[in-house]
Amino acid sequence: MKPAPQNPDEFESVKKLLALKRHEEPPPGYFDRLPGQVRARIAQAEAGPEPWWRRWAGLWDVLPAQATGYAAFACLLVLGAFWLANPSGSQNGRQLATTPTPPAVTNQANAGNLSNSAPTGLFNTPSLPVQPVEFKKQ
Amino acid sequence: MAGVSPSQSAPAEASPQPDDLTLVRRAQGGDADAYDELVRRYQRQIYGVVYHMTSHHEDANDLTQEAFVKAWQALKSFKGDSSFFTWLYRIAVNRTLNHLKQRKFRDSKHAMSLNDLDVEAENHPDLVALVSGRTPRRDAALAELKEKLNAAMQRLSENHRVVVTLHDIQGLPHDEIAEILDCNTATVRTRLFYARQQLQGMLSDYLK
Repeated sequence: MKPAPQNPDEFESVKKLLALKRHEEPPPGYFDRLPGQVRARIAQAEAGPEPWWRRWAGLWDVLPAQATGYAAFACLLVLGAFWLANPSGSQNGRQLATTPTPPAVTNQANAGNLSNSAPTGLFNTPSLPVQPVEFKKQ
Repeated sequence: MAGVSPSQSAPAEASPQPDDLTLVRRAQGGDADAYDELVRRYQRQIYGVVYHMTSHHEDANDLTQEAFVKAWQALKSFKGDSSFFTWLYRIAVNRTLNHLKQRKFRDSKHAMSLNDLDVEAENHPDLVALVSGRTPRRDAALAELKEKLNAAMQRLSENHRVVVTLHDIQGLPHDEIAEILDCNTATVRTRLFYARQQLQGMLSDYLK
């Protein structure tokens, strides 16, 4: 989508207003101190080298395309490794899906337990001689 | 923090100081003083672009330093395909854009910008002409305009804001901006048009 034909004076007020932002200044003396601060940070960075992941993250600022390439390559490596490791697993999966397996003995035992009846001894307490109680008014 | 184009800032013709490439070659050989000179040469422009993108002095200070540190660390990869100025700007802009993405919804309490506008600029005829004449409410209108302008800038997308900053505030030409942002000139012009259009819409009550 292309912009409409631009009248040179159309945005004159906005342009003048924005140009005034050039007058904004940091606190006095800031630019006298900045080179020293940069040098101190460089020395600090060189004294304690950054971990590889921070250096890699920093690459996004300097060479974003290269950093994106590295990231894509790393993703491909991981996916490739996963794919290479997986075929045996997926084959087993297909076999499991197509080959009927005989029901295990333990499953049969468990199937019995899945009936509605409660396990013996848990709710089916031995019957006790219970006599009805009569309440009499006195 | 006036807008300075690289040709204006390169002191090779104006003074006997070494040009950028000479300083870069010396810095690549480990000469920290040469790099100091490059920092001094471009610190205002780099701080300016970061500051107008973030509207925050502390962030601008931190990001400016980071940009110079990263440039030093990556200096060996600088082959001179583009000017040092463009290369350095690209690092600063990319770092700032990444920072803004990370802090998409920044705390507006910390935002400050034209509050530090100097007195001379406040009496600048352009600015006086933009706000409603010599009424008792002029100061209030001026302060409101500053706030409104900063808020409007922050409401632009990062891609639009960076183009406005580089062109309308810093005065860089379209082709230089295209090189910095790694896009074509038509894209720069389109973004600039829409950015100005949005700003005009947001500031319509304050602009004659």
